[in-house]
Amino acid sequence: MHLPWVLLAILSPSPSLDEANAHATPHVVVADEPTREASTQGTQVAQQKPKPKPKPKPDPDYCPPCGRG
Amino acid sequence: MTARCAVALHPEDDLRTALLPLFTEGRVDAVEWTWEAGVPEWLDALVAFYASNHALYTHLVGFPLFGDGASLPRRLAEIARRSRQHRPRHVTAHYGLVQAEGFSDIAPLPPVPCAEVVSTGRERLLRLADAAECAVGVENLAFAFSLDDVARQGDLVDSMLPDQGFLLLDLHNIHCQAITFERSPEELLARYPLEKVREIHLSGGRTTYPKVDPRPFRRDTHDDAVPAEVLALLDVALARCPAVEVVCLERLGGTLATKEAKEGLVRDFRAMRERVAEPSLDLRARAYLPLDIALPSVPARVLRDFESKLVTVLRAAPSVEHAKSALRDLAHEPTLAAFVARMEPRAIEVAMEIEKRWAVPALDSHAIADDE
Repeated sequence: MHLPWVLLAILSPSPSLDEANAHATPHVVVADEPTREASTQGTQVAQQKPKPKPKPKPDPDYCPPCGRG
Repeated sequence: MTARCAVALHPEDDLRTALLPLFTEGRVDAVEWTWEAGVPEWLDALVAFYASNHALYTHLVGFPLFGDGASLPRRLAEIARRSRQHRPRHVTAHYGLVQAEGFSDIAPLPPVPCAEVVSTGRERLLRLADAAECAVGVENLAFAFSLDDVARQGDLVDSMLPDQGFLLLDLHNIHCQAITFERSPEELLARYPLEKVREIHLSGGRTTYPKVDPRPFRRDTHDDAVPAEVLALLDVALARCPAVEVVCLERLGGTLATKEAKEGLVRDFRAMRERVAEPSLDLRARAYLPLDIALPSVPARVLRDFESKLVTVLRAAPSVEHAKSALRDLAHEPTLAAFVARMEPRAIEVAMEIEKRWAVPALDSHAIADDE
């Protein structure tokens, strides 16, 4: 069954989004970066207490996949 | 009439990109969709398109064909709503227990073979057909506690199907049982009412080797390519199932990380399509004859109590021996005791693993009961 082009367009990955993802450089603060600013940031990062992660709540709309055999 | 070739849809993105070449070439005749799954925009559009072309098939993963069925009213209302929206060709549910006390979902387990299971299954299928306003079918289960479960499944399914009901024959599930219980797949096929098969499933899985008994135990995990033996079995099934309307390829989303895996899925679909286009005609079907064995009766309350606690035992037991012992203690009645006595230790080990992986504790222990 041939799909209309509009539907194929929805199914296809967006080139602009893919390109953006490919070129995106994640901003990472490294604690021992050898610059004063980064070093300060690093110290701050190190001193911050990690926030306790909230407990994941069971999702009432959870759908079990097939293939659980 | 040549059967349609379908793919099962899931919301994960890797499945979308893997299937895109097939959709682009116009090779996919129909789609199967699980209503219980999430629906991203692309999937919603695809489902609407195939529905408008009368080529949407639906499959229910968590429909309680057996067990206490406390969630049934809620599920049936949702099914009725979805069915009015999409008008699927038919709806299918899994053979097996999918409900247990304290869990909102479990991986399906074989039910106790007894008269109550058949009457419950039949009644639930009639209610499902009423809600969905279309034909309803039952899919055979891969997992079995014993060869007895394997031998009886076809008869039990056949007994509970309503007049317009049909069998969804999962060939990988037959393959799993053939490997695990060392039988020929053709021999197992002959234990099903093949003239009632309206849909066929193909998929892949993996073989595990339980610690208590390292003989191969094949599992239906949908995370690998379709084995050559299953494709060969498709030839046999197509020749023996005269009423097949659709053949569907299943693959779990999130299992197609590599380019090779995606290409493999496309290859599987093409191989499936070639076989469906030119089914073998020279294979003689062996007539299906139900075993002439009267099913025992188990008091409903005793059966429900056993069914509802089965998963708790499997998840809590520290070892296979403990699980078997606890299950024996649960089986207060001769049919249940025989069911537990037949359970193979390696199957108990696999069931423990499956339920630890897939059973979802309910929001609170009374959540299911409160639904009613």
